[in-house]
Amino acid sequence: MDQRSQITSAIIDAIQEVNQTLPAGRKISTQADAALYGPPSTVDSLTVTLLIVAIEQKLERSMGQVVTLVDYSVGLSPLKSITTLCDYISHLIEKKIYVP
Amino acid sequence: MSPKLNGLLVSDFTCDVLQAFLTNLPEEPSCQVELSPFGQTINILKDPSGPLWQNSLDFMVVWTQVMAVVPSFKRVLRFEDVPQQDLLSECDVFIDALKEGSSRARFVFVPSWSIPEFVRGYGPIDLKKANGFRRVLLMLNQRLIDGLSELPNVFILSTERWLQMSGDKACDPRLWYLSKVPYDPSVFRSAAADIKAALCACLGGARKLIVVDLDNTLWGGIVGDDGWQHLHLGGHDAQGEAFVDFQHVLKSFKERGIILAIASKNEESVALEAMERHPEMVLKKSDFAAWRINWNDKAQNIDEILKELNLTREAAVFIDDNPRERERVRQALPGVLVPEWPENSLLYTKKFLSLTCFDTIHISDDDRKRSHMYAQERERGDMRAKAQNLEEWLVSLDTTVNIKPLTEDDLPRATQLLNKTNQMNLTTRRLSEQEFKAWAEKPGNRAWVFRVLDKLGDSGLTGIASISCQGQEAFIVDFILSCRVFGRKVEDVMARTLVQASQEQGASQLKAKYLMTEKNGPCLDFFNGRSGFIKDKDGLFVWDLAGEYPVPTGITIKAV
Repeated sequence: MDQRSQITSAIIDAIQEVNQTLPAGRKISTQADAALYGPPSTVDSLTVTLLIVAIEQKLERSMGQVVTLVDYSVGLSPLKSITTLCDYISHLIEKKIYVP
Repeated sequence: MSPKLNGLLVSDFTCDVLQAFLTNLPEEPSCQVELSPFGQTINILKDPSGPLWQNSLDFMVVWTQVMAVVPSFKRVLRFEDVPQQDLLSECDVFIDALKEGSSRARFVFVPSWSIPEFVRGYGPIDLKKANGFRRVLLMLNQRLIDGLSELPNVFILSTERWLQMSGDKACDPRLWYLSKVPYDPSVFRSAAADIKAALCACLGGARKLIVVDLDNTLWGGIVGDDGWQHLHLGGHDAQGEAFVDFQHVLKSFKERGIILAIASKNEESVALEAMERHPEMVLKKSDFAAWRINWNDKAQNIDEILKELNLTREAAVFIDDNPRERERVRQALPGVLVPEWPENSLLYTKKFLSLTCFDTIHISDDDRKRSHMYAQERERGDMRAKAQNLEEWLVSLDTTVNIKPLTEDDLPRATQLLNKTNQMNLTTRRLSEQEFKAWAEKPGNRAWVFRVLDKLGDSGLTGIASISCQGQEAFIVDFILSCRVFGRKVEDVMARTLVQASQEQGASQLKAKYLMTEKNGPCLDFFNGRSGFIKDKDGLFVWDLAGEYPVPTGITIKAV
C-alpha cells in the first residue's frame, strides 16, 4: 500500500471510530470530497478534536508517523475534506514537519 | 421495546462522549441522558432545588476526577507530603454530597477514581510510600467504597477495568488539552456498556440459566465416537486444561446461583456415563437442573428445558461451539441469549467471563441454593407424576407455607423477587429497596412475604403480597410468586392472607387490577380461574369481604 493509501485508510478508520459516538443522521461521511468540518458538515468542535486525535493515533500505529494536525498557523482549513486532509498529512510527512 | 430510561451525567470533565454512547448504543436498556453543567459536581448534588432534579431520574452517573473533588491530591501529584486526614476529609465532603444526591435517582453509578497509566509516581516505592500516588488513590477509592456501602442504590464501578481494556491509548493528553476529555472514546464505550449492564441488573434482567452443549463445548472431542476415556479433558494438555477451567468457572457460577442445563445431540446414556466416570470431569450430573441429551432439534430441547424449569427465554443463555446450532436457536427462540463463541477452546473461559448478562446487584443465600432447589424440584416432579391428584402430592410432600409481614431483614431478597419475577406477577412494578421500604411504611399499605418448605427442602422466600387500603376498599398492589412454587396452592395462601388483612382493616371489598405484560399470563389465569375473584365491569378482580377465602387444603399454613 502506498503512503497516500495508508493515510486515507487511517483517516477513514478514525472517522468510523468517531462515528460510533454520533447518532444516525449526524455521522461523518467517508466520501473523499464530502465536507469534514465547516458547512455543510454538522460536525461540532468536540467531534473534530476526537477525529484529529484518532487520526494522529492511527498514523502513529499504522505508519509510525508522529504528526501534529493541530497547527494554529493553518487553522482547521486542512479539514475541509478527506482529500484535503490527506494532502496536508502527506505534506507534513514529506516536509518532515513531525517528530521522528 | 421498554421505555427509555431517564439518566443524568454529573461530571467535572467533558462527558459528551459517554452521553452519546449511552444514548446511541443498541444494547438495552434504551436511555435518554442529560448532562449537568461542567465542573459543579458537589454543588449540583447538594442542591435539591436545582433544575436538573425536576424530572424523575431512573439513574445518575457521577464521574469525577480525583484531583477535582479531593484538591489535596494535586499536592500529592507534586510529590508533597500531604496529611492523610486532609485527603480523607475532602473525600468525605464528596461522599456526603453523594449521599444527599443519591436519593434523587433510583440508581446511582459512581466510577472509581484513576490516574493515567503513564504517571509513574514514585516508581517502585509508589505503593510503599505513605504519599505514593497510587497508594493514596487506593486509600481514597477505598474510602469512597466504604462511605457509600450502606446505600443500596449506589454502585461503584471500576474505571481501572475500562482503562485496561483500552490499553495505552486510554488517557491521551491531546484530548484533555484540546477538549477537557480525559479518556479515549473507547474508555467511554466500555463505561457505557457496563452502565447499561448494571442498569439491566438493577431492573432484574440478569440471566438465570446456562444451557450448554457437551461435545467440544464442555469437553474436547465427540464422546459418542471417541469414548469418554479419550476426551480432551484435564491432563497435561493445553486444550484439556482449558476445558477443565471452563467447567470450574461454570461450577462457580452454579454455586453463585446460576442454573445449569444441558442440550446436546448425543446418546443420553453415553454422555451421562462420561460425566460420572471421567476422572477429570468437574461438573457432574447432579450439577445440572435439567438436560435433554438426544437427537432432537436443540431449540425444541431448550424450549422443553425452559418449560420444565418454569423459566422464560429471557432467563436463558445457550452456549454451543457449533455456529449452525447457535443460529438455529437464535432464530427459533428469540429472547434466549446466544453469544458468539470462540473457535479456539483456550478462549472459552475468557469469553464466558466477559459476558455481562449475569451481572446482578444482590446475591442472596437463596440464590446460592437455587441449583439445589431445582434438583429438589425434579424430585417433586417425579412424585407429582406418581400422585393421583394435587392434594395427594402436596400431602406427600408435607408442604408448609410460612407467612411473615415484610421486615427490613427480608427486604433485599423481597426486592430481588419483586424485580425479577415476570410470570406470576399482578402489576410487575419494579422498585429499589429504598422505594419498596418507603412504600410499605406508608399508612394503609401492608406487605407480606411467603416462604415454602416441604420434606425435600426449603424453597426460600418465594412470594410477596401487598395491599393498599383506602376506606372501604383494599387494593392488591403486589401479587408475586416465584415460578418454582406456583401451582402448589401458595397463591391461594397469599390470596387468603390479603382477604383476611383487608377484613381486619375494615374494608368491604378487595380489588386487584391486573396489568398485562408479555409474560404475566399465569397471573391472569389464576385470578380468572380458581381464585374465586369476580371480574367487575371495569375489569377489576373483586373479592366481597363479607365472605372468607377458603382455607387451602393439603398444606400447612403458619404465621411467623
